[in-house]
Amino acid sequence: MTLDPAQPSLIAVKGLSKQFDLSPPWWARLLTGAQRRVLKAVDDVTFDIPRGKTLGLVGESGCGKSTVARCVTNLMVPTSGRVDFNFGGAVEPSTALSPEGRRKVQMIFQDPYSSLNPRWPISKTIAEPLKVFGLKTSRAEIRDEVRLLLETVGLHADDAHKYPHQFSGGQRQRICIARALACRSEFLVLDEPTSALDVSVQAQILNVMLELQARLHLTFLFISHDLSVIFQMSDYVGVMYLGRLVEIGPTAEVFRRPRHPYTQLLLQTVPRTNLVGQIRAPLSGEVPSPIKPPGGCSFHPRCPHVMDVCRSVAPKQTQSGAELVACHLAAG
Amino acid sequence: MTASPAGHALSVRNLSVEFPSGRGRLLAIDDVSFDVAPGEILGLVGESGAGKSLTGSAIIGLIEPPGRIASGEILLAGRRIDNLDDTQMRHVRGREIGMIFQDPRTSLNPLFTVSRQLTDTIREHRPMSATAARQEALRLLEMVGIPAAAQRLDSYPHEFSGGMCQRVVIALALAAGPRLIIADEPTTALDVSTQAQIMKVMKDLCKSSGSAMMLITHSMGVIAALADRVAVMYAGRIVEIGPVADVILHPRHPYSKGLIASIPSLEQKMARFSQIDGAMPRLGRWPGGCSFHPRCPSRMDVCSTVRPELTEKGNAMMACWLDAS
Repeated sequence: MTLDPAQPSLIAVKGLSKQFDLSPPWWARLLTGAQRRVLKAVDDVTFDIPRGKTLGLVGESGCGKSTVARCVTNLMVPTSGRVDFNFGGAVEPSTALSPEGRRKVQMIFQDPYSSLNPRWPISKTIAEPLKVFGLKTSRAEIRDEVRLLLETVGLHADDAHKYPHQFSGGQRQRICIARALACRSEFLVLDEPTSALDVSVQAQILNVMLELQARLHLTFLFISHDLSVIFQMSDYVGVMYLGRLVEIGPTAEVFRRPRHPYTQLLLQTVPRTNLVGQIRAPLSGEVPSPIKPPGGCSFHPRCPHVMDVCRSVAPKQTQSGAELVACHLAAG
Repeated sequence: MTASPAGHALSVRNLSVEFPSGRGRLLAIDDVSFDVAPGEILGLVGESGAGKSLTGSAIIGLIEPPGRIASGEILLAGRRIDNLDDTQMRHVRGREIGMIFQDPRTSLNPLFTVSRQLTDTIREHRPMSATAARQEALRLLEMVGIPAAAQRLDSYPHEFSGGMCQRVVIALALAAGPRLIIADEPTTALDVSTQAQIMKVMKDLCKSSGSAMMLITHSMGVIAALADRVAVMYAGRIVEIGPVADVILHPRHPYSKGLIASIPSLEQKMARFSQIDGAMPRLGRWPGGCSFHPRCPSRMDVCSTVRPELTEKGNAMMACWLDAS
């Protein structure tokens, strides 16, 4: 399904799977008779994002959110499935992106302390993509562009000569955004971009992202474990559990009427400041190991609505209103 | 807040912590006072660098040198503990004050079984035979909600998940029946669904054992769910302290207001996030007067020159010149 048939999608992910082989080496398997162990980090994930919109991916640690981000940006090669970009010209698969296409796909990471080169002044960091992609050539042009980019993300143009350690966490995340924008990117993958920041700084950074998206018509894949950030930032939201997309649809729909029991429980357990003194319905159990996921629907051991079929048959994604849900309940 | 100090599990009086540096002595905690009653959970919130964790370290006497307590008193059930020597302090730590840290994996020794770590702690503080201590360890694990505790007693920490490890750390903190538990970001490393479980365990245990708890966290949601009272810290000082319902639902200090407003809502979609402009100044660059004044939307002339003290306002106390007269 396409999330918005009226809008052309900028990125389409089809049946994406990524497996990691954690088996002992072949000789050890031969000697000890140990079995192969395969971790299915991402299992048959399909989605698309309309141009200019944000898809939020939410889930607990180990559910495969970041692996999706890495496969989309071609930092990892998927085991199966494909990722196609459409920047207005021909459709390009992520594994064979033209240099032009690669420039348009950029990523912002969680930790702004480790994603900037500590030995480079930030002007050099931001100028690098300009030089690499040949967007600006003369020194004066590059200098002016760097100053402009810094001001775009709310920093002082005179700070260009400073080094990363002279900035706070929030300011560093702004620098990372400026570097991504320097490429004139059209699609940004944001992997927990504010998880390392304090709430008041988080609000500043999210505001910068919202302004830039509106102004430059950017498309975001926004990954976070924080449901309220996802609710505020995304047009569409996908909920992941143990490598699978269990529910995807328009944000307002999913949050107002979550259809998958996992989404329902997730929304119930999140601590809210308007509910003083209440700890709500603790979800029993924990996320099982992705190496040995439970058979059938992987959520069945924790599901309050578990049926017999859930233990044996993995549910297929089915349309339910404007959403896609992978649950036997929704299938009726 | 008017009861005699002896009635409190913990009383902190005018605590200041300083770090000597090339630019003179830097005050990281500046004249902080609060009390915690037995069975009460006091939340301590603020941005990183506000001095929340340092306040916790000062209470258990584990400030990293060259930092030191410059002035003030810390009373545990009416007895001063800030001037004890190392040997005496060792008996207080663990016996009378239990600790829960952020990362459960680094709080446990990976080379020892859970039962060994529990029985060692129990026997260190309470005279008990090895068998009795093992029974006690089992009781503690069952109390914190570890399923099939008897089978898991001899497991190593790596055999437990993050949430289960945190339960073991809570069991360790409770092993000697402390008067006070200091929990420093106890649920930050855990997932939302596990977080709710751990919060429930902590709240139930505090209420049933009568231990007081100091809950240090940056998450207002965790504070709202767990704490009875909350203190908001900014730049080494408490700017507002009061019952959790008053402070979180009706904050009065401009910093608490800004902090609470900047939490993304799950109820209503906003076009823009409410933000506090600027960032908390670094240690040693705290401005004069009220240290929040450069970022404050309602600052007045007096704010940049005279420091406001904590004064009673209804149920809560706040340090602000707004409607001070």
